[in-house]
Parts: sequence; structure tokens; C-alpha cells
Amino acid sequence: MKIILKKSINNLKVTFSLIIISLFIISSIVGLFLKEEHTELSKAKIPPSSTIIKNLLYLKGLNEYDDGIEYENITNDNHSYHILGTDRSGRDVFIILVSSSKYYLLSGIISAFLTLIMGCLMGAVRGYSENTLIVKVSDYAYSVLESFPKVLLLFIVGYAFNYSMWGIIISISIISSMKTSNVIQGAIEHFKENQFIEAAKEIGASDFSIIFKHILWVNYKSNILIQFIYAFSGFIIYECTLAFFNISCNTNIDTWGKMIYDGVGGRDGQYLIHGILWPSIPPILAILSIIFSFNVIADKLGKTN
Amino acid sequence: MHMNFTKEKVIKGIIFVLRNAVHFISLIVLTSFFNYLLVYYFRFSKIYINNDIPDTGIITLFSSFFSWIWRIIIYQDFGQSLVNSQTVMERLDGNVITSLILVFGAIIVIIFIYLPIAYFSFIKNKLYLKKISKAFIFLSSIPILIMAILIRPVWVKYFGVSNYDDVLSFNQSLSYILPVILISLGDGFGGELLRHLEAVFTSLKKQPHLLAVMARNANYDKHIIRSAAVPVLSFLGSKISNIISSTIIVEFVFFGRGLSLLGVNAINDHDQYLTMAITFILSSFVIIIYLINKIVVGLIDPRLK
Repeated sequence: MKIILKKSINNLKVTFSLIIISLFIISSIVGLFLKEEHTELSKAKIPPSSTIIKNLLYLKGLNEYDDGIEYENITNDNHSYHILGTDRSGRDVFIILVSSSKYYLLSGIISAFLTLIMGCLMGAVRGYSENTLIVKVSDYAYSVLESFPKVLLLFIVGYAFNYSMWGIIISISIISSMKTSNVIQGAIEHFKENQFIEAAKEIGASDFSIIFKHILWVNYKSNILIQFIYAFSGFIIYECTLAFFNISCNTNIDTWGKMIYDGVGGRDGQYLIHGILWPSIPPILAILSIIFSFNVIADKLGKTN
Repeated sequence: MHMNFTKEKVIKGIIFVLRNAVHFISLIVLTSFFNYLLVYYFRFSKIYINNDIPDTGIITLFSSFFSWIWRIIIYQDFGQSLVNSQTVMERLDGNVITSLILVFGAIIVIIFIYLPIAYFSFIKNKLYLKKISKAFIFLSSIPILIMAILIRPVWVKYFGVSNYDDVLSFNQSLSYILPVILISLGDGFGGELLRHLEAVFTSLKKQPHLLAVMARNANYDKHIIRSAAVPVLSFLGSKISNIISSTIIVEFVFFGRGLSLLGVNAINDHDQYLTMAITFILSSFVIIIYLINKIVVGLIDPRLK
């Protein structure tokens, strides 16, 4: 972390991504105390306030969505002001965006930890073990998981747990842990031949301490942190994918994926067909900016080590 | 290519193919068992509201699983769908074609766009192609769902299909171009492929036997392509599930039909047999491609030959 902070003074990209991540953390804490407003707006469905952005994105129909209904413009309304406009049922997009970021912080961290635990265990067994039976069983388990397309695996593992919160977290962790296990396996195979491992064996260190202390903790700490970051951003993407397909236990919760789903017009995608998807642009931008800032930091961490 | 087919070689080749076939058949059985366990066994007992709750013992699990897979293999009977009292085969009918076109289109894009770009930029050192490959790497880091949603309006404007039944006609074949390119980019797949190709080509250029080829003024391209074929093919074979995974998302966003929509509907309707059939078909497809890939690599690779 110290290295990142030192480098960030000179590097604009890293500074910018650190600001975005801190904004995300702050908004997820603020989101705990926010209440969504449903009052008086439910009368009118309103387009976004910024006509410039609309001009850039839509190219047509500034004050109307393409479903033939004209919407009132809230910027003329003295009672309230919406930075990002409102969605089709009249709720403020900005408030939903901030308040729904709280769903990603804690569950993302839990999912990333689960990913690391599963990935490290699987990678350690496949990379270190010399017992042929264990290696074969773990190889088969890995091949079984890998032969499913990722999205389908996400669907069916979540389905087995009825898309509860823990079900979604576990299913996403299983998918992300496959890549992590590959990385860990490569690292362990690389370090296994080194002299310090032989020395540790001579002292009488157990296999567990050799793998997790001598190899992963001492020599591979920063790369594990990178895997953690990737797992966290992976959680956001996969959750959005699940919510976009409207496969979730509680579809009333407004996550970013649900916002995208509502913005494109539900399962029929009627607004997607006409290319008018204003309410789904802010969550898309939020997801993109967070993922890119995580990627920038992970890249920086990888290069410094 | 000159090959001497002695009796020993033929027998060894047959044993190699048979051993792989047995391995992959056991993999198909294991994946379908995992699929059955998650979709049918975990959930079926929970949502069965009638009085006749199925027996959830281990013996019943295995017997019902083997009867399910036996019916598939012998009678091509995937069971009864819950909707419209149709069989699963009737519901699958006509929905597989779009997915297949998209998958094979993506493979064609990889062969005719990615490989030439990598070849000319990393071996012939064309600077502008290096920039294009960097752009591809950047684009592939964007999540495929978000890119599909953002590109969809543009696609409708320029290639849009008015009637989805016309999709297969020749006039609309251009409409497949953008989705297929998106699938080839995948969730980081395109970037990984280009990085892998760069690593392969740059390491090959330093190999002594290729330096010797250069010195003799022999056909350099032929030698380098032959040496690169094995690592590139085995990489592509291991990533086929990524292509199918992105196909599901892109097909859902762009075409709103096909296997992806069927799968999502099946999960939402708790239509177990249909869900299991779709996962079974796609995972078996992935495993069969692995098998073919492994045999082809075995034929090309001089060490295995």
C-alpha cells in the first residue's frame, strides 16, 4: 500500500483510480443511511436533466422515450433537482446508484475471500501434492468445473441455492476461484524446486506451512492481493450479469444490475431495441470506472513487484 | 507431410485416441452428474409442493441419474418440459442454430482476424497492427454484457433486423458481424489470446532452430507457423467454454432468442429437465471440442507423434 501511495503522487492514473475507489467506499457507507424517495415523482416519468449527455447518447427524441409517451421535464420543477435524472417509474437515479453500492462492498469482500480460500486450496493440491490419487481427483474436479460455460455454471450453482445472497456469493466465488487456482498452482510449481523449500523441509516444516507460509505468504503476497482485487471486481460483473438476466431471489432489491435491467426495459428489452436506455447508463459508467480503477491498481501492484 | 505408418505407430495412435476418449466420456458423465445434482436433486425436493415428495436417498439419486442419462443416450429423450406440455426436444428445436452460428462465427473471426494481426504485428513488426492489437486488448477488458448493451443501439441502426425470423436469410447475414466480433473479444478472452500469441511468437523468434532456418534462407514462415501451432491450438481448445459463455450473453442482448433465452426462461419457470438438457448439451459440446483439439494437437506435436 505504501508503494501505491508513493507512486500515486506522480501517477495521474493511479491517483484517479484511488479517488474512484474511495468514492465507491464512501457511497456504500452513505448508502446505508439513504432512503429512496417515491413521493410525487411517481406521477410523472421524467427524462434525464442533462440534455448535452442525452444529445451525445441518444441522437434523437430528446424529450421522449421511443415508446410514444411524452415525459415531463423535471428541471423546470422547482421542488426537486435530479443530477442524473430519473428512471421510468420516477425515482432519482443518483440516489438509487449511491444507495445500491452498499450491496457490493461487504458481499464483494466476502466473495473475494472465499475465492482466495478455494483457489489457494485447489491450486496448492494440484501444484504441490505428489499423491497421484489426490492429484487425479482434483484435476477431474477442476475439469468438471471448467467444462461448463461460466455463465451457465453461475446459473445452476445459484439455482441450487435458490439464488439466496449466500448462494450468489458462493456461485460467483466458485467461478472466480478457477482462475485463481491456476495462478496459485503455477506459483507453487515454480517455487517448489527452489532451495529454500528444501531447507524448510530439512528443518521439519510441515507441508501446510511450506505452502501457505514459505511460498504464498513470504514470496507471493502481492500477487495474492492482485487476485483479491480481480475477484472483487469479478463479483461486481457477475452480480450484474445475474441481475441482468433477472435471475435473483429478491428481484425487488435495486442493485446496479437491476438498474441496467430496468433501463433496457425488462425481459423483453423493448427500450434496448430502440436504443434508448438512459437509466442504465449511470450504473454502466459506475461499473466501468470501478473495474478500470481496480485494474489500474492491480497492474501497478504487479509492475512494482 | 511425410509420415511412416508402421504397425507399432498405428497401434500407439489408436491407444492414444481410445485413452482420451475414455477420459472424456468419464468427464461427460461427471459433468452431467454435477449438473443433475445441482439442478434436479438439490432443488427438486425443495419446490415439490405435492404430497408425493421424492425419496432423496443416495441410491435413488444414482438410479434416477442413470435412467435420465440412459434415456438421453438411447432414445435421445431429454424428458418432459413443464411448459405447454411439450417435450424438451420440441422446445430445443430451432433454437440451437443461432447459437451455433455465433460460436462458429467467433472461431472464424479468431482464425481470420486475430491470428493474422498477431502474426504481422509480432513477427513482421508492423507498428500500426501492434496498435490495433493493443486496442483489441483494451476492448476485451470491458465486460461483455456492458459492451453488448452499449453497442446494441448502433447495431440496430446500421444492421438491424426488423423480423427475427429473417435472421437466417442471406440479406441479414451482415447483422452477425458485430455480435461475432464481440464474442471473440469475450470477457478478456481476446486480450488473453493476443497476449498469449505475443508471448509465443517472441519466444519462438529466439529459438536456435529458427535462427538456423533464417541463416539458411529457408521458408521462415512455414517453420514458425508449424512451431506455433501446438501452443496456440491447445490454448484455443482450453478457452472454448469462454466463447460459449459470451455467446449466451451476446445472443440474449442482441437477438433475444435462442438457447440463452430458453435457458433463462427454463430457470425462471423451474423447468428442470429443460435446464439440465441445455447445460448437458453445452458442457458436452465443450468436452467434445476438447477431445478433438487434443487429438489434433497429438497429430501435430512431434513429441506426441
